[in-house]
Amino acid sequence: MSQFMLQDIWKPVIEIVILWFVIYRIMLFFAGTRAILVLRGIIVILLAFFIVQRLNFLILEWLFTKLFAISVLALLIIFQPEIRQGLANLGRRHLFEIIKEGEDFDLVLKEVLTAVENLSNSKIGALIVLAKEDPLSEYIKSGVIIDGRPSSELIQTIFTPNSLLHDGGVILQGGRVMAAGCIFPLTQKEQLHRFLGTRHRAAIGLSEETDAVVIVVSEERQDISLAYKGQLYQGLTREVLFSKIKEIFKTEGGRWLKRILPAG
Amino acid sequence: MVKKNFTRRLIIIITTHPWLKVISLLIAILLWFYIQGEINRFDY
Repeated sequence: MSQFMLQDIWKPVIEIVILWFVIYRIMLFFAGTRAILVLRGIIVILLAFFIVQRLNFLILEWLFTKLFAISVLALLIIFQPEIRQGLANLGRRHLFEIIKEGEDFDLVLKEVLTAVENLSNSKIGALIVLAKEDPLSEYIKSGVIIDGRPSSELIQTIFTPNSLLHDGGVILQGGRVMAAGCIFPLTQKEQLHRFLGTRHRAAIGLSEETDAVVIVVSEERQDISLAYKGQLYQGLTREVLFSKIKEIFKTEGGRWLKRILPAG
Repeated sequence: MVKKNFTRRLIIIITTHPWLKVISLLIAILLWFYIQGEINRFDY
C-alpha cells in the first residue's frame, strides 16, 4: 500500500522539480532584460486563468483559452530577439560553465590581469566587467559588440586614449570579450570619496544591479579596484585580485575581502 | 573542509535570487496542476 503511495508521489515531485528548474532558468535569463515586464504580465494572466478555471467560470475560461491561442504567436514576435539570443547562448552557456571551472578560466583571468597591470602602469583608466550568472544583455547592447577571444593586447588596445572604444566599459561573458564602450548605471551612494569619479561610480552602480565582478583602473592614481555586490575594494595588487576573483567565481560570493568603503 | 565548502555552496545556492526561486516554484506547481487537470479532462 505504502509502496503504491510512494510511487504516486515521487513522479509528480520530480515533474514539478524539473518544471521549477526550467521556469527558474527562463526567469533568470529574462531578469536582466526589458522582457521581464512582459513576463510578469504573462504570469498574472496565467494566475488569473488558473483561478478562473478552478472556479469554473466557463465564459472567462473560454475567453482565456482563445487569448492564449493568439498570444503564442504574439509572444514569438515580441520575444523574437530574446529567443534568438537565448538559443545562441545555449551552447555558449555550457562552454562558460566549463571555462568557469577549468584551467581556461585561469588563462582568461591572467590575460585580463596582465592588461589591468599594464594599463595601471601606463596611467590609463579602464573598466572591465566579468559577468557571472546575471545576464548583461542590456549593457552589452549599449556598447559595440566584439565577441572576441580575450587577450591582454585586445583589452589594452580598447582602453588606449583616443581609441573609439576607450570610453565606457568592456564586458567579458562566457569566456569572450563580448562588447566595449558599454554604458553602466551610476551608483546613487553619497558616502563615496570625492576622488572617485564616474568610472568608479559606474563600477559600483553595475555591481549593485547585477552579480557581475567589475575591475576599475584609476588613471590618476594608478589604483586597481574591484566592485562586487555594491562594495568597492581599493588598492589591490595583481595577486590579491587574481585570488579574490577566483574565489568569487568558485563560491559565488561569501566574505572574501575586508570592506574598505562604507556600505552607504 | 569538503563538508564546509558543500554547506557554503548550498547556502549560496539557496540564498541567490530567493524570490525568483519562490515564484518559479509556485508557477511550476500551478502549471503541473493545470496540465494534470487538462489530462484528466480529456482523458489522455
